[in-house]
Amino acid sequence: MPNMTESEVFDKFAQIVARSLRIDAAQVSIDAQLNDLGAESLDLIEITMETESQFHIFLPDKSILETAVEVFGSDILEKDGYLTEEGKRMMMCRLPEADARTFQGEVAIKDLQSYFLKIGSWVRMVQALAKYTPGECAECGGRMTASMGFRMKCVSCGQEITLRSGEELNRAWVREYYENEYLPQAAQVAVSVNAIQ
Amino acid sequence: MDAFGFTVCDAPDDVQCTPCLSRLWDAAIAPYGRGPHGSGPLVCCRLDALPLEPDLLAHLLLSPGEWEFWRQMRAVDKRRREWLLGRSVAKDAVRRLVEKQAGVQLAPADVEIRPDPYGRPEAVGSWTARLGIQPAISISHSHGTAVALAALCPGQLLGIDLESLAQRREDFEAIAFSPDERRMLAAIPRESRQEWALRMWCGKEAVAKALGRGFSIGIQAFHIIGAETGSGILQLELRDQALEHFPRLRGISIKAYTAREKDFVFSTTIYQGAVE
Repeated sequence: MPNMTESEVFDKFAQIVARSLRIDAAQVSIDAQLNDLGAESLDLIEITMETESQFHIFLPDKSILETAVEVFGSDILEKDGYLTEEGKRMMMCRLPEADARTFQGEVAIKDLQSYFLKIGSWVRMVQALAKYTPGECAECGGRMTASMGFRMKCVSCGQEITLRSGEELNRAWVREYYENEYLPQAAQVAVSVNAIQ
Repeated sequence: MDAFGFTVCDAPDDVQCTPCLSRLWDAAIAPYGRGPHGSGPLVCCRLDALPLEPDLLAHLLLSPGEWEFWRQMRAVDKRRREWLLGRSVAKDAVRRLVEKQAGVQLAPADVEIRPDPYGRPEAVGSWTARLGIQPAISISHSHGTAVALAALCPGQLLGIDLESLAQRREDFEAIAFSPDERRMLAAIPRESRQEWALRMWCGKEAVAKALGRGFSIGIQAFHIIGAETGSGILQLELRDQALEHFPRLRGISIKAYTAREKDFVFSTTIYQGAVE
């Protein structure tokens, strides 16, 4: 699981989506959006559950932007429904694979939500989370299998671990960005402003 | 006046210039009552099927901006049909409301339904400035049926959600609900548990829509703290970090009405007051 390629994740995820939405897997392209494939809110829940079960991962229950707003506070990353320049900078750092045009000009929150509903966005998120799901036991090297809840168990020594949740990983990434990227830059801007005054 | 304090609009059966395609659906707003004390008029409409071939209907109903969106929409047939159903029923709800309140008959294309920056639908057109009114709307569609709620009161937040009872995974509750909410569900008789799970989901989604951010702030942000099985009324409050977006809702309980009609469960909520 931890070393799945994007193509392997896509193939498996496309099957999950096709089954949930009762459509042909051929309709599930990397650029398609789940809502355009006919997904309603409860379908997204079903797709989430099936994805977690098949990839042994724990998906976040809110977007990275929402988690970031909680860390940064209001009006720094988004204001009145649009990403601020600071918000764009953070999202570009978080989503380096995104088309540069995604963050040009005014970026409404709804446009970002559409981006997060893309099959490609889900595939990359699943692939990133799967890296935290061990295939082998750290104690004895035995094979790990899914256990109860979001846990994995070694078939040889019985060692159990709890998977890190997507929300926990997102929050850790945001905190690191906040402390190492945002705060130093904000301090530098404050110094420049003081110098001008 | 009822427990919610709103007035159901005694809307005309139809707008004369172009007939409405949908029917009035008072069942969804029944608890909001009728009478002189309500906070504003309210209309709910429902459409169960497209009455015409989609492209023809789109030509008849859509504004130039909506038509362009329809033309470029890359989506499966089901999604395209439901989008058009949603636009149709929302336009009808707004037209009926405006006809009743201002005596003005609008054509469907006059009422453009477009998302605000957060994705919440809003009704726009030159008539809003001319008449000095700005209806609030909410739309939901599921399994080939679309419903829309429209109200005319500044600051009113509306949410409606409709879900089909058909083909639903029973274990969706594990993700949809918190342990407290699952305990609440467990106390409901087994034969109505699936229906109530869906009612609770609809209640959450209706409130999420009313606040304008949907579930992007997290499903668990919308917490059900009470369910009256007799009246179908749920009490919800915002939890945790969601209050960062809506600080004025700290400690506030929001009511959502829920009911079942044949194979559908639905919820409506109307909140009057500042939230941000």
